[in-house]
Amino acid sequence: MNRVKRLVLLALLVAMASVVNYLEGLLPLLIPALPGAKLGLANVFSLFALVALGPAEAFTVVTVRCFLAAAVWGQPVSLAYSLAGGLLSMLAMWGLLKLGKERLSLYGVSAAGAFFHNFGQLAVAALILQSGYVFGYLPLLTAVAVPTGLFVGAVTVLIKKAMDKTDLLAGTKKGGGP
Amino acid sequence: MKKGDLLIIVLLLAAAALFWWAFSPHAAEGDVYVVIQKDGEQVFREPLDGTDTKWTDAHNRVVVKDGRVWMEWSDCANQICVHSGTIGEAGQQIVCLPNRLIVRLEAVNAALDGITY
Repeated sequence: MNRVKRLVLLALLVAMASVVNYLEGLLPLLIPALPGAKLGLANVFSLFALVALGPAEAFTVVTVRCFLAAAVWGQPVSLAYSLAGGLLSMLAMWGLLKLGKERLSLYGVSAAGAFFHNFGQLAVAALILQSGYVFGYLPLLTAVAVPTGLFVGAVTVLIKKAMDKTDLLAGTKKGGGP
Repeated sequence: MKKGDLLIIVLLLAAAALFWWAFSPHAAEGDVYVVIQKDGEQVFREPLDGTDTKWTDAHNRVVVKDGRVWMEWSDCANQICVHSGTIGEAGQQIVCLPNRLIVRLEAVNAALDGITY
């Protein structure tokens, strides 16, 4: 793919993910007893990058989005959380897509991504608090991560379908196909 | 949705169940203690036996009253700990991540004494 086109696509994905992530933070809590639980719609864009462009592009979208969010809204410590969650989640989704190409769809991949996002963030929290007890939140977070992950997977499938009908991704290495 | 997706969902829920089992108090008949941990170190440990008390430092204030425990005040930005509500049963916890503080209700004969990293 043309380098300029690749750069523009990546920039667009980062921008959309950042804005969606910010807007999501303004919404009321999904579950009042579980602050921090959210849909995770920003993952739509990194997952889309993974299936439509490739792993390098997907990791770029995640990393740049995390640094951007930390620079604009967050404190340095929030960068550790978002990077750990984002990169571990992407690693898991990439691995699953590679391993189970025929047997898996984006629904399961996205649900696993949501789980590992929580896991990565809890691992950083455990390090900062010097206590593994924060993993006690994992069951409840997983109960939320599975449905929200499936939702994000469904949205990504729809976007991929719609994008495949356009020629915007023409020339990308994974353009076309489900 | 394919068969593999269902397998992933089942595995994730199984992992959740495993963590649930590992972190739930296994012998709840024992006495329950209020344990406060700051920066990984225990700074408060009292039985939850109806005695009302408070624990305060420069950043947080924890209230123990009528067998319930809650974060009354915190100087952190997100206030998640303050909005966590009250806890009263072994295994429950309130976490203030920005101030690296955990308030935990511990059963004395809990199978899991602690995990450190």
